[in-house]
Amino acid sequence: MSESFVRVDVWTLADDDPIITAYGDAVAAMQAKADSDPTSWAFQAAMHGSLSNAPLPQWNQCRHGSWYFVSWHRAYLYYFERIVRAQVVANGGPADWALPYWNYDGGGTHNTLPTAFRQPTRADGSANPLHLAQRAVGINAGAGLPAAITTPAFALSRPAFTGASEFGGGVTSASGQFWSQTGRLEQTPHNDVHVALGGLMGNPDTAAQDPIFWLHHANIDRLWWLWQKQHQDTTDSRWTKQAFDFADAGGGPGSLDGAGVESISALDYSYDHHRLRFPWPPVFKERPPVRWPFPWPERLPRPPRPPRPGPIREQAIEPQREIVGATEAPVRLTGAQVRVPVRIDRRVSESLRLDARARQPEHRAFLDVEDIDADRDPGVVYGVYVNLPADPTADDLAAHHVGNVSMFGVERARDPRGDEPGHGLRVSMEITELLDTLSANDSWADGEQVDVTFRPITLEQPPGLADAVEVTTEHPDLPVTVGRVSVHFA
Amino acid sequence: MVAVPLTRARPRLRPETGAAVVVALAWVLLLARPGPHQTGSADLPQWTVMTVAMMGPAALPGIRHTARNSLRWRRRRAAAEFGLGYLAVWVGYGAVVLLPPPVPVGVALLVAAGWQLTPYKRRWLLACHRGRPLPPTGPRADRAAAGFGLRVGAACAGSCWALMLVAVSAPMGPGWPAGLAGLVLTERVTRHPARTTRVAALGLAALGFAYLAALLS
Repeated sequence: MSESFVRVDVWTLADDDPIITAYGDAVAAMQAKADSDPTSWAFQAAMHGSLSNAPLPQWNQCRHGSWYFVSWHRAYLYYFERIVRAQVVANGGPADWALPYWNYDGGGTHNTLPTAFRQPTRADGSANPLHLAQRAVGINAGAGLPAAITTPAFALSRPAFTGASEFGGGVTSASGQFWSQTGRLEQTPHNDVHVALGGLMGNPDTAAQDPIFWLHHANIDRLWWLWQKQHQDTTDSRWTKQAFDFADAGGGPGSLDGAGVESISALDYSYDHHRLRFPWPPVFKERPPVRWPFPWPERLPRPPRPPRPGPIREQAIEPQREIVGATEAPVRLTGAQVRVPVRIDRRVSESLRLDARARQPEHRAFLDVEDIDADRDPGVVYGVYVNLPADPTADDLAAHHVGNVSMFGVERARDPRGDEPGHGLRVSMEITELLDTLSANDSWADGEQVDVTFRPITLEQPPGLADAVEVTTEHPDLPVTVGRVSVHFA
Repeated sequence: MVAVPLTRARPRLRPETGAAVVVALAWVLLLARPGPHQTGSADLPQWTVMTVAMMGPAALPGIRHTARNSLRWRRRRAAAEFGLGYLAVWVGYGAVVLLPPPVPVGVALLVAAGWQLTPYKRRWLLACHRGRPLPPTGPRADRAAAGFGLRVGAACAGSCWALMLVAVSAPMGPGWPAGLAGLVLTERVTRHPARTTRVAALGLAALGFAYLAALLS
């Protein structure tokens, strides 16, 4: 590797590793600086979001629910790392310090909070700057984030960058913090891990104050780097030319645009490895000639395309979709499992059937969970499952899982500061492959309805804590309303 | 198997095209006979034409949202329901604002400029953009589409009531409706609404002072 700085997996480091102790010392030094100092902890955290009634102009800049999510956060982390490195060097630490990442999907106990962040004091008795009491129950005691929350599979399997159901998110204006075009990476694992960790991490206005925020985002950045190895980012100039301003080490200004953050080599850093716990999602997958049950349109067989060498060129952004069915009434979530039927309209599917004969399209199906609203994030991540059997086994849950819904940023989306209108959250998932599998197995007999289950995902509490503290997902006083669940066809 | 009536084979990519045609027709009628000619609800039909022409473009995104979020066989119906709900708000406003004699246009311009600078203007303008989830079928779907039209109409009225007051008070001629409609549409589609409303306030205030000065001299 020719890059000067290498970000390593924090679980490969001992608690007293120089990288970790230097990070902790730098955090303490930055926290001692004034809020108005661009290299202070408070300023850097406020650039993401702040609860202050008198924010400075460079504060409250994070981009969410937007295709700018990955580019803004890569630049944000880049400058933060430079500021911390300068502090590390000033403290006498390693000159090649780089921000470690937390790969919560690394297997074993890697899905628990790294041990250096858990205790209020260090081994020598001094205060631990990496510790924060304000996290969800059990996190500091070693509760595990389930694979349903940490999995990168939903993101890495997407073929295109642009679109709410694709990797990077949908097209939005560059101004405004919270839109509703959340991409797959932003939803899972990014939003879900924020909500699962809870406390300051559960609110975008306070999340960056938790020292684990930066390791979480380093992992999100690493997942983008992995996806880029096989896929093409958007070449749209609205994304590549959009620059964002930050503060650099020394307090001076820094700015990067989309084109500037596409390659981490150009930014002179890399990651230590690109192992994934599961096999790489295939770049090319032959779609079997599956017939969906009547009255869905028939899928007409297509000759398989050979794999193309090199990264995939970006396909057309999210295809023109058409709604084929939706729920009649809003869905209310209060912490228990909820199952809602989505009826497929027969007249629409009959028309589409005739279209199919004329055009021979390759059909795709999408599930949208729209207008998700709540007073506050209740701190629960819901798994979304399609046609889940009653009393599902672990294999059933894995096979029917199409995505997650979590309420990170719901307060800010409702009452935005900038030029974006108030809105609910929205999650868009492709379910083509699952419907293919169900049809091929003859386990989707009723083609006129798709059953969608919202099932709260619980943390894996450590044995001692599980007995001592009653942890529940119920939140009857803080209901979440889903305006509509709809199925779309492309 | 029950035969189901077939709808258009291909969905329209631009469902708001039909509404845009209606808006264009309203402009033709308006330019032939611009402005309400007398106060009172007797001129409500002309007010309606003026509203469709001037506020119609700002409703097109809402029509697009309604159509794209409706099943293809009830797209036109849902869009029409939205349009009627939207129009109902403005016709109601017209019935009220046409009753008294019109204020001098300079005063109306200054009132509009002042309203542009209030936080309520920003809140209502952003509310125009808000989409709503729509049920797919049945009377619930009809009610939701019409209700969505009413909501967007109310947000629009909250944002632009003062500009339409200027339109009522303005001298005859096509320039005023065209200019005000252009401002309404710009505010609706701009990516920087805060900046646009402030700049518009300056322009409206300058015109208002100019007209008042001419009136007083």
